[in-house]
Amino acid sequence: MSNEEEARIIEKAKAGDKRAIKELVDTYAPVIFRFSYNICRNQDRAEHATQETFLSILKKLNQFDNRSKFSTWLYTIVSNHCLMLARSEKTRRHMSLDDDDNTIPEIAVDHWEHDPEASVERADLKSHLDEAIDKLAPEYKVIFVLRDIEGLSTEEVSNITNLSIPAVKSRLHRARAFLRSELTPIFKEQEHE
Amino acid sequence: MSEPVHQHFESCEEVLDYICAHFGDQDDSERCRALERHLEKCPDCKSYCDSIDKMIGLYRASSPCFSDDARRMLLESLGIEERD
Repeated sequence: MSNEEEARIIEKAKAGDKRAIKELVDTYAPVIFRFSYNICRNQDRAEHATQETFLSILKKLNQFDNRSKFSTWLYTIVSNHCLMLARSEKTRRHMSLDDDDNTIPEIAVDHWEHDPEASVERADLKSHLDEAIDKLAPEYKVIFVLRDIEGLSTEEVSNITNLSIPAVKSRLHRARAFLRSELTPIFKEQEHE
Repeated sequence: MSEPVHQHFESCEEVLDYICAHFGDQDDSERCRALERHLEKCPDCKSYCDSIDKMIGLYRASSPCFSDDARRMLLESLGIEERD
């Protein structure tokens, strides 16, 4: 969809045009679902988050003024929604990754010889990945998913999360390092199988 | 990590900082080419990049698609019918 076409559809959706709203659903619901799933790693919760996010988008659509990309605006809403949901789950404990100084620490070097992507069908591998992600604090997960999984630029992530660029880089590095260190023993085990 | 190997990066920490900001970006800048040259000569940085790349691939590959049922329920919740 071109920018001009998207702008026309948004204007129609603002006026309550159901066909235009359906076009927005078909274009962006899969994106919102994928993002939500990558934060909560649970299909039902991700579908629920997608529904809640879309209801919120439609309520706020008149506030969208075309000054930012529509997708950036959507990511801001869904990120805030996912963070709010995660914070409401007070029983869940996440690893502490203190980044007050916004510096990027030295990385531990472990070599992954095995290709994890080739093993994605293995249920135990997916479960290890889910466990590792579950331990990561949502504030870090959001940065990692926006930057690495959704492929947004550091500047876009900074705008969406309202964090400085050094803070985004620091959180991203810590999230990557944490997930990598959690997964390294699994891939080391697989090398010896 | 290894000693610096190219003038565009003073240290592996600088490489790490650059990777943090630009990993996955496809550009043809001199700095990007310098990174590639660094990775060819620094096994530690290369190993780090490779594992991050694999981890991202694994993460992406393990995400399900938005189902037709979920789409239908979403449209219903928005008061929209398929024929609209």
